[in-house]
Amino acid sequence: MGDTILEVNDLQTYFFTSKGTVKAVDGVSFSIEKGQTLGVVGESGSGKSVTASSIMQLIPNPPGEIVGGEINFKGQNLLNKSIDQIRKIRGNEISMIFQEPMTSLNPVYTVGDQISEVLRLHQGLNKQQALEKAVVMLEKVGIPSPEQRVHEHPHQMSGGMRQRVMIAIALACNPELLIADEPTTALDVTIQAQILELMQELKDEFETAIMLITHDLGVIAEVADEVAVMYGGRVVEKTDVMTLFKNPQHPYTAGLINSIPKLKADTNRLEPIKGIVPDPFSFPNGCKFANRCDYAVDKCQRYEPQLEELDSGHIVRCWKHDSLNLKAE
Amino acid sequence: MNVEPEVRQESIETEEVEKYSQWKDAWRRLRKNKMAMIGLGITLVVIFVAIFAPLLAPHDPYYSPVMEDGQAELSMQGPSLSYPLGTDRLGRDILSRIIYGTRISLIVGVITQLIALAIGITLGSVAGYYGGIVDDVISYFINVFLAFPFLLFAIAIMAVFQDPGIEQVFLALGLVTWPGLARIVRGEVMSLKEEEYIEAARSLGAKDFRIMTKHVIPNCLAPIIVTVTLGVAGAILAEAGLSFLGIGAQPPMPSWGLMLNAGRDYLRSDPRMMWFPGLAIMITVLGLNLFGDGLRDVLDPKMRD
Amino acid sequence: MAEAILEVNNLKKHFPVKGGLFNKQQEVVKAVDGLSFNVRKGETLGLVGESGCGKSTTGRVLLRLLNATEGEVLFEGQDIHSLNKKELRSLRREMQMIFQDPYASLNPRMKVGDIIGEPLEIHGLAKGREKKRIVKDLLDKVGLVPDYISRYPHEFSGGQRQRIGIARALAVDPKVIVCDEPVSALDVSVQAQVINLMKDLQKELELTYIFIAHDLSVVRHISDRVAVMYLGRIVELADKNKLYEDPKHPYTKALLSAIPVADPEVKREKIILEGDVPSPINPPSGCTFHTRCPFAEEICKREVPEFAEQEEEHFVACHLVD
Repeated sequence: MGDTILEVNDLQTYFFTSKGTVKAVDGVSFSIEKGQTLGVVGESGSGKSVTASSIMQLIPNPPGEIVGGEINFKGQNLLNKSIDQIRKIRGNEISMIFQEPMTSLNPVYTVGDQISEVLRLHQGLNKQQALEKAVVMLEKVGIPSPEQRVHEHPHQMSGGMRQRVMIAIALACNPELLIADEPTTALDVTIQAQILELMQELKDEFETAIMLITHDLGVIAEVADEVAVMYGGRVVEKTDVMTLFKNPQHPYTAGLINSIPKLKADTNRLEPIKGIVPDPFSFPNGCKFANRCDYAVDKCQRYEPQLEELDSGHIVRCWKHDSLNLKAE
Repeated sequence: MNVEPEVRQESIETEEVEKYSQWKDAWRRLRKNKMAMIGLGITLVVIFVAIFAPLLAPHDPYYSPVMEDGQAELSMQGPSLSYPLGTDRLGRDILSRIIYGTRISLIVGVITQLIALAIGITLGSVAGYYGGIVDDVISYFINVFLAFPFLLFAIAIMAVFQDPGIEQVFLALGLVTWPGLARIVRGEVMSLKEEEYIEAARSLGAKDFRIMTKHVIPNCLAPIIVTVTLGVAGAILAEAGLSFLGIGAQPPMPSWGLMLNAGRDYLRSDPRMMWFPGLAIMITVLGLNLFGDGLRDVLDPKMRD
Repeated sequence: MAEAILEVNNLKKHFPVKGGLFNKQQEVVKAVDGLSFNVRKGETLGLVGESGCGKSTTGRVLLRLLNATEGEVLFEGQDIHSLNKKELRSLRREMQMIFQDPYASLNPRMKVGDIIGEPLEIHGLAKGREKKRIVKDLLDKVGLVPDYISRYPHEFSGGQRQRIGIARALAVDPKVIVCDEPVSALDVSVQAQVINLMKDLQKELELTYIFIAHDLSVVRHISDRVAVMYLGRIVELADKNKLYEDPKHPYTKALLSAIPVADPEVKREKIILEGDVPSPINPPSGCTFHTRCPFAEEICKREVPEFAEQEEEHFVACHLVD
């Protein structure tokens, strides 16, 4: 441990729209170490996916723009690199898997072509070598009879299979960082279990650092080592997974944990967070969560709290965390 | 009461959400499209001219001083103060005839499209909604109609009539343009009927007619509006073509196509007689097309975001 | 025990697949293939399964939004698949539906007042001011401000739209509501709000819910009894506590073990199923689960297991359970 792969510092990604500026990501910092899985949780509009796209520099411009911060990948700031240099990194040293296995594969090429493409591009393999490696990758991600499957088109495969192919493409060049944006959300639970297990195995085998973005706390609990909770474009709490579930310090984190039905406990009533995620233009001025928070006082409405380090590695952005006694059942 | 306090809170928040509707939003984006706004401007001017033609025209467009009062010297006059665009062979004021011609062109455009709308929406939505054999039959007709070249088909229909005139032009062009519209409506309806709110309406017990008129057609208005706008331009061109060929509007109507026809003999000696009606057609059609293209960009969801 | 309000006997829904050059009917998707169960008055019956198991089709056949291929659905003793058009329309007042997608299930061109008032209009229940009053009451009932009556759906968030959908279903004062994944499109924190609202309404209006979902924890939370579907059939049906604590069918076991639990201390032994759900076009012979079942035996390939009551009120379709 201690081998930092990715360090994001004060990242700011804004979208300049006709209705005004959306600060989709506003001062986000975190780091991921080799072989570590960082879970990023949040609801829609929290900025979790924009953070991922920012690292890959896949923000559509206009209207989006990374206006500040640093993205240090193995000590080098990606924001200072040319687009050609970024292209060499994308899909090679950092790769990404997306939510929709149906649309992220090109329907006119065979899966073999699509895996080969990255290999030929980044590792300079010839056609034959690339195809051989593609078969190996398919086998690794658990696709039966890969020699035949490599010649199939995406539509001949099920959703779970396609997600496996996506993972095969993402891991083909043995990346040091894998960004997975809701990789199992579109899949059924039994298939989700397969994919999560696969990601775990691959992480153990290759020591890949993983940034896993999801809204599902269950997935977080099962695979993440560290967790960052995002709300309104900001990290509101970050700590290791055990502490997060047992001792959440931010009211939003506690609210999220309490609003999901427990499989075991037969509670009669859920405790939802009140209100809804505001639209991007109407977040409160102070703490972004103030208008939905049960504990908010005047100060929270007016001034935004800074991130505060509680004890080793547990940081929280809340004025009142020390006077709260949050419980997560 | 089972209203929870947190729910109330939620309700109050959206109070601040800006009032917004699809049409307002479309208008806002349309305003940013310069070409579309030029097109709209031209179209509005043309409509204005058509409505106030009697006030704008300096002379009676039908009055021929040559025929009625024997003032032969007024034939083929060049531009002058009292005849800004000159006169034609019969001494009629060309400017006044062009101004009144606006009315004919617009009426042809609008009535043609109304006929096309009536047939196109009915058949298109029935085909799209019911599918199956009904769709097969209607689609067959649509395809047959679309297989003919547009103007040739209109000419063929006009040839059937004993004495051609402007009313026959309405009918012929209406019959030629509905299949395009029907095809668009059919496609829209086919995708719309899979929408969950259509199923929701069915689960409420709504009859087919209600579902069509309340849920389906209002939701395919955008492409219909675009098609009709461009259709008006097409119809104006087609009417001019038919009239030029002598099988559309008949003299002494101040139809632009007819004026082109009359000017044909003087193409070399006095091209002015073709320039002005030609220019009128070009400007009107250009305006409608620019506006229609702009509308398409703004309303077609496939172009958005 | 409450009486059955809905009785389903050997219900089947097969879709022909048009294929080939000559549009011949060649294959059949057996979306629902022989369901038998009761729904009791005032209860919530959860219907869970993975995509393609036929749970949504079942919901639609129960309401006769789709016609059954075979079998019957008895609502208060009357087979709804034998009703004529007029009778069917009055059935719509008794049975309603809440849809999955709060964005697609409301007509974007209609105002909220017209959306919720539409069922009143269709059934001639109220007009004009009376209609407006009822709509406002309904908005209030689902926790929205009554003044929203003249707004359009796009002015609302997903959770609020789902409340509008619920209000529309309640407008005709139905007895049974089929809820097709009503919260799966919503944010986690909003899901809980809508679930609580549905529970409150059920108590207040004595509604019977058929709750279709793929999220097993949500289903456990809201249901009284739960049926697990696989490839068009129910493999297990029991009281929710029995089903979740003592699942009998291997598929139910695997499904339950696959759910990620939001508690990092819980480390369970997972049963990871091999492969994907087979296509319902040519489902496996015998027990359709045998291709993925870790315990499958010879008999499973040959014979369809009977959906039998293994313990009191606990139905299982498996050869290996007794």
